[in-house]
Amino acid sequence: MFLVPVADRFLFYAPLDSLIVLIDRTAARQLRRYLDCRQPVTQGPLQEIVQALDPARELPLPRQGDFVPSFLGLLPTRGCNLACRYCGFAVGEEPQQRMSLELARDAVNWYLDTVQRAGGKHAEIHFFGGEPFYAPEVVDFAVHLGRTRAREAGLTVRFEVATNGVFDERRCRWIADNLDAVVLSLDGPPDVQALHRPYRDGRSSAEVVERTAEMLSEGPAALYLRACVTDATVERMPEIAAWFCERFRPAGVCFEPLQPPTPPARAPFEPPDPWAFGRAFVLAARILEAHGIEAVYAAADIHTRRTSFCPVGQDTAIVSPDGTISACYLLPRDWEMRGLDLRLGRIAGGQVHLDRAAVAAARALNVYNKPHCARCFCRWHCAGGCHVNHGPTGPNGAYDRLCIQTRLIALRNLLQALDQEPLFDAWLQDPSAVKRAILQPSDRLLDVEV
Amino acid sequence: MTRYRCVPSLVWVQDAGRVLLVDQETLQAWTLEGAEAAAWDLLALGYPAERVVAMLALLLDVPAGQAASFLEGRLAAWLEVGMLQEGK
Repeated sequence: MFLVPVADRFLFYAPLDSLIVLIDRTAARQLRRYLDCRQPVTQGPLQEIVQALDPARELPLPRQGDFVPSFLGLLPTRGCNLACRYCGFAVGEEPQQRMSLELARDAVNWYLDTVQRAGGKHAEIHFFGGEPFYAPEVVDFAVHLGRTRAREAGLTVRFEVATNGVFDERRCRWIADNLDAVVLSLDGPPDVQALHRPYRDGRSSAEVVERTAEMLSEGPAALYLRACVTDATVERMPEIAAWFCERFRPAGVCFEPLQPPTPPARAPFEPPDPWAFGRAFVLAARILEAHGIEAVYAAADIHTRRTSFCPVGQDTAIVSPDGTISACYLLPRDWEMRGLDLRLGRIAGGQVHLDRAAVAAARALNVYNKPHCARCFCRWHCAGGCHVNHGPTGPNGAYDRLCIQTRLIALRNLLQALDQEPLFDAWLQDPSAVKRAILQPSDRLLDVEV
Repeated sequence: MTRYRCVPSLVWVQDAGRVLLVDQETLQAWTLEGAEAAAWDLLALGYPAERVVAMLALLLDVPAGQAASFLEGRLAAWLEVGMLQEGK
């Protein structure tokens, strides 16, 4: 149970009981006394809060038992036809391997067999890259195979792709008709897209990606726009959101702050200031929500309870072009920089070899093993974030960029759930109050000074 | 080698893993499923016949010769019902 000061009141938050209440100082003290020494609560509204707290609540648990992937991720290639100026995948420097159709077959067959054996009814196949449509044959084949085999196994199957949107109209129509969800990287209006995401020869990709977004807006596949935000564009997030609403019909818009490069490098852009990102996200979210479009910042999604933020720890199987099965779609170089090995096994010669110890190690990368998250009110939503790009190791309250923006946005989401957006806006005008809440070393009810 | 093209009045759409085709002049309609739908889709995407055969062989888990026979059979059937015509 957590307590966060907001102006002259306190937000009491029990995420595992789905309880969000705005209380005054007196009530906060009474609640503390109740929890600290079981002093009875006699006041009416506080009694309701206490009664809503379930002592037998079930904690979210990490994955256990047999390895049944929550989804199969295929990386048709690490190659890409763009040269985004912030891209950490560093493609184009060396020839990129493409997945063979035989490997795609073996991966899809193994995954669907595993889901069926476990009694599952639904399968998910996602395509990542590089750019998946830089090796389109793999996607085309895997979709047809997945569909055919899923039908034979009595499973439903859903296909999702993360793409840069640089392809012709025929491919665009195919995607709209054949895939269920498309996460399209589009950073904003033409000048932003030109700045961030040029072709290898320096030309802007804006025109073709906008056409892709327009066509996908008209099709049955759910379109999610993913905008990477840098220090150069953070203040423009509301403008970008408004432009998306005007031009396209996405189901959701995901604003992702640029991650610091690994290894550190001289890049033309820096990650955005987390305070600025949090504030701009809230403004952008309001614009999107007014148009019925979901504003996505997953770490601050207060409707989700989880123990691991990303595919790692959720029994995801990401298959690389060389047959490696891993828990993460980032480059091995990036994990290794953090001292992680996220390989789970290998597909070779039609055989799947899973390393049970590696699966156990990936499952252990959960929020229970992240002591710096133990006292944060976002614990069950952010779950410590990306294991590779987010690794604070300091004491409670040693918040980094991700923590600050996540706490700011999550607090807004909680107040929004209480119809208290005006309170959030007023609170935001007081920098010392904002820092007091967001940088509070521990949000645990018994630790907060009231 | 025989070359085929769609009849000009034929339109199609993917829906729930099936291909639904309609001849807008004759109002004849067809539904393709499974490997047959895959073959149509791959040809419509512009893959050459030998690549379609290679993919069908993996999809159906059969030798390439058998996949080629399957494709030839489908092309002949589509020609017969009026979905395709011979042409350049």
